[in-house]
Amino acid sequence: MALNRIELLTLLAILRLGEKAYGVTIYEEIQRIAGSDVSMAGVYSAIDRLERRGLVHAWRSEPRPERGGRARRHYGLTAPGRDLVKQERELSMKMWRGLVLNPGERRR
Amino acid sequence: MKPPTLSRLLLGWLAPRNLRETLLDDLDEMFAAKVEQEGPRAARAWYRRQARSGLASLVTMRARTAGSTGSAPAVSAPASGFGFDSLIRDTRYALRMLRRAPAFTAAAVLTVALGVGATTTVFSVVYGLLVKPLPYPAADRLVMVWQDMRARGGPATEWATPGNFVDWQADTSLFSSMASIRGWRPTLTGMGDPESFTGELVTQRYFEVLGIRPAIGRTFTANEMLPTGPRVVILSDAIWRRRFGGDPGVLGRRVVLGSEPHEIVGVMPAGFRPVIINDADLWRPDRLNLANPSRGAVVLRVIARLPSGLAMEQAAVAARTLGQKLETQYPQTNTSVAINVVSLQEQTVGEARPGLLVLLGAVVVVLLIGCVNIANLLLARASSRSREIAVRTALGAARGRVMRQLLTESLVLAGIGGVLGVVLSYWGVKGLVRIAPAGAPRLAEVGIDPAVIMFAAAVTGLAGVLFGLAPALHMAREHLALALKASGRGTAGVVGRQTRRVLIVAEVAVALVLLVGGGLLLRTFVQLQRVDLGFDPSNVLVGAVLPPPAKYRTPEDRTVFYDQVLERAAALPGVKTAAIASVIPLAGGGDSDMSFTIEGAPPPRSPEESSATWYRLVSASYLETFGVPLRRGRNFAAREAEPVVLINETMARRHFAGKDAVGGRMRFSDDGPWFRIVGIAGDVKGQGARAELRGQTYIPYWQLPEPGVAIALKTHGDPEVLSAPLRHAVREIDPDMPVSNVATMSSLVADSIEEPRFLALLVGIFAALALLLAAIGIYGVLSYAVSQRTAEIGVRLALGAGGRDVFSLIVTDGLKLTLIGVAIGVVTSILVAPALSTLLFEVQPIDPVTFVAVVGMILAVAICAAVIPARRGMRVDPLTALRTE
Repeated sequence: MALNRIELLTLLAILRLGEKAYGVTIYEEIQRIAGSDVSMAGVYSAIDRLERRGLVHAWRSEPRPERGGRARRHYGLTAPGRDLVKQERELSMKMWRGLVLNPGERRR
Repeated sequence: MKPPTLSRLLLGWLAPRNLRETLLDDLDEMFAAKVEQEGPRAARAWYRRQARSGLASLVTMRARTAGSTGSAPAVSAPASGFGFDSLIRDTRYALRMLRRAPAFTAAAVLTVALGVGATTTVFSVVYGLLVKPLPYPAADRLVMVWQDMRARGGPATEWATPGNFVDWQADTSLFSSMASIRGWRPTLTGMGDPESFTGELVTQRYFEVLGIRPAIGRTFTANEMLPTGPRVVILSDAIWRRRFGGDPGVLGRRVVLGSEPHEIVGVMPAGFRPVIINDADLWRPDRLNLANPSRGAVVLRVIARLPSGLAMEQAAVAARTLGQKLETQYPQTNTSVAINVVSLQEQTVGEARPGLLVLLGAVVVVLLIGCVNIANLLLARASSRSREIAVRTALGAARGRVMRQLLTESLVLAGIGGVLGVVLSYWGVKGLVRIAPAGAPRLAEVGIDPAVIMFAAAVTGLAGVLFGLAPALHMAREHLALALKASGRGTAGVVGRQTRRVLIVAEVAVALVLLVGGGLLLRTFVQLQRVDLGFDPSNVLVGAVLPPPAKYRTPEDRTVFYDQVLERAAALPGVKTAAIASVIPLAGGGDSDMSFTIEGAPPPRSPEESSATWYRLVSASYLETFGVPLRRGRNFAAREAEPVVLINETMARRHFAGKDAVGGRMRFSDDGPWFRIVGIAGDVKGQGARAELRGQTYIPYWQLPEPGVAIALKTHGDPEVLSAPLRHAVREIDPDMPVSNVATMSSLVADSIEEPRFLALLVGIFAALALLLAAIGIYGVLSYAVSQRTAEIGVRLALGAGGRDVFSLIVTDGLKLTLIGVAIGVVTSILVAPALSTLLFEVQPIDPVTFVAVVGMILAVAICAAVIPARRGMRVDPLTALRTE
């Protein structure tokens, strides 16, 4: 089953963030790079789907050092998650190879 | 700084439990950061946006979560009884239950859809006409101002004299701005085919009063208002697009209107709705001589804007004071003339109100009866489900939890029906607007807008609770042990049996009230059709010609023109007689009135006593063409030079009591010529069947030629076929002269009773629907009773009862319910019917004929509905029946 756009963006954001990946940072990463206007709930909805499909796993951080600080829910890619990203990348590159959007571009 | 409470609560409520804290924590963290960077206002807006755009994601996520648990809700009832999870589960469970009973679901959904659809349709009209403000800024401060002539025996809303208009306008504490309006019927020439338009002659502050400016160009200047001012015109958006191709360069162009060139100075915006003359497309300055205004003729309709802060009641008081002041200032003209201030909304739609409210009432009744039927269906189903419920209760489902599950089912049912209903009402509104009486106000503004949708949602929710409550209460009360012990059939019949019978009685009663209303309105319509209007509308074609005063300047010019029209029209093949008249019966235009004095009668002691008559300029052929009988005396001779008139019977009776009017003389001003009365014509109800008769004078057109008359042709065959030859004949006399408003007299007669017809038709439809639903209800209850009593019937048959006995047992049962309902319905109708009296004509609200007919009809329908189950009961085979027991 293919990933939809927001799921793919979330997956890539988690990969890019590594250890630092949790709700806020994932949301900001998508916002910063893709510039698309997603909602926090939309991000969590995507994470929820990814988690159900076993592509993402969650872990709890230590409680934050501040007063009343709670543990954060962090995310990372599972092995199947990494495989899927790789596949997506290869598929995408294959599809792009040799493709010219603007015929004038090549000679320039 | 805290995030917006509501948004946070909503997000928390919708989020799945395992994610709730994480999501809210994250959002709080980002919110705090946003407050730092962008300030609290932007942060709160961002948070609300998050809540709004996240809704859909959360709901679908929850639906997924709920789906994965997959168990029946009653068993796995979570501790938090009102959470979103259980709502989703209840809904899914309800959908499953409804899918399992497709026939029931279809019947119920269809009933709700029809009920909500009809109710929403009627409400959208009621809302668009009566509730929604008129499309002007601060429309609640717009009023119409009339001369109140009631103290003189005249109308409460008489037009105003220019003199009074000037004096009213000067009182700026009462009216912050004021304008007058007169009708204008110019013909556009010099641009292809001549076309006649409807327009308004307005004073300078017309656009200011309404608060709407031209989309392009400007309004009129003070200079253009002077009698000698330049000729200018403002176009409607429709005309601008149709005749000028929407060209913005149209400003400054000259167009010939009524034979005079006018410079286009503005174009009104597309949505602009003219006031008073609804189909007006052109506006030009009314170049009244306001420096020395006339105080005699009532020619102006006046609109005004009240200052903000002045309530209608205060305005009425101030108007009374102003009226009294003007009475003392101008005793000659203003004695007993008060000022009547009416809100524009009331003026526009006030007349439609009673009819619309009756319609809304009728349609709500239909919806209620529909709900009763669904409640009955649900109760019947409740019997077959009592075991399921009992099992769930036994497994630990709380009573409230079960009730909620059942209510959710009804609400889901109502919701599906409601959505369908709104879709139906979309077509309903279109259909209703199409069949509505022509000229009904504001119809273009009627549609499905957010307020209407909200209404539909509320009605749907109420309906769901209404028909869901009875079964839910019953089920919750069911005795657990009994239901479990009994075979599915035995006790089940007890569930809501009494309730179902009470519901049927109520249904019959309500349907009867509605039928009585429909019957009374139908009788009114029939009575209106029977009224003798005093003329013969068959085979008469009418049309209007409006010779522009700029081209036909003198009375002689116009007389010559009318003579020619008459001569040509009479010569057309197929025409029996041709006539011209300043006003045609039922054509919408009112007669003008003039005060008069009768020779030899004592002069009026006070202005109140001076009499007024409608007058109409006609050709000698008028009476023959319209089939108006000549009661006494003679008709005019053609081109009779001596001043002569005909009067109607009412006039003769009122002003020549006991004397012979024929031979008497009257005049219309103190120094005018005396007119000799040569004959008396029959009374004509020219304003419609309901209007009161007034004194009418017919004056030969060549003695007082006014601009603008109607032509009428009495034909041998179908009058319609003469419309083209008539246009052609007029065009031959003056190529720039169109014939407008061509219609047959019979269609004008039909139009005049269009409104009562429309009302009777719709209420009739709703009443028939109510009757049908009631019949279905009776049928349903009885056939259910038969199936429940199969064993009992079997015993009776086995003990020697005949099929006939069983038959009458069941029919009697149905009739008993019906008769109780009829009794309640008749009493209710007697109490309610008088509310209709303003809509009725020559029918008493408590009309025995209607009541007897309606009761007879209900009984007949009830018997029919009872016969089918009764026959089934008759055919019960005692052996089979007893064996199943």
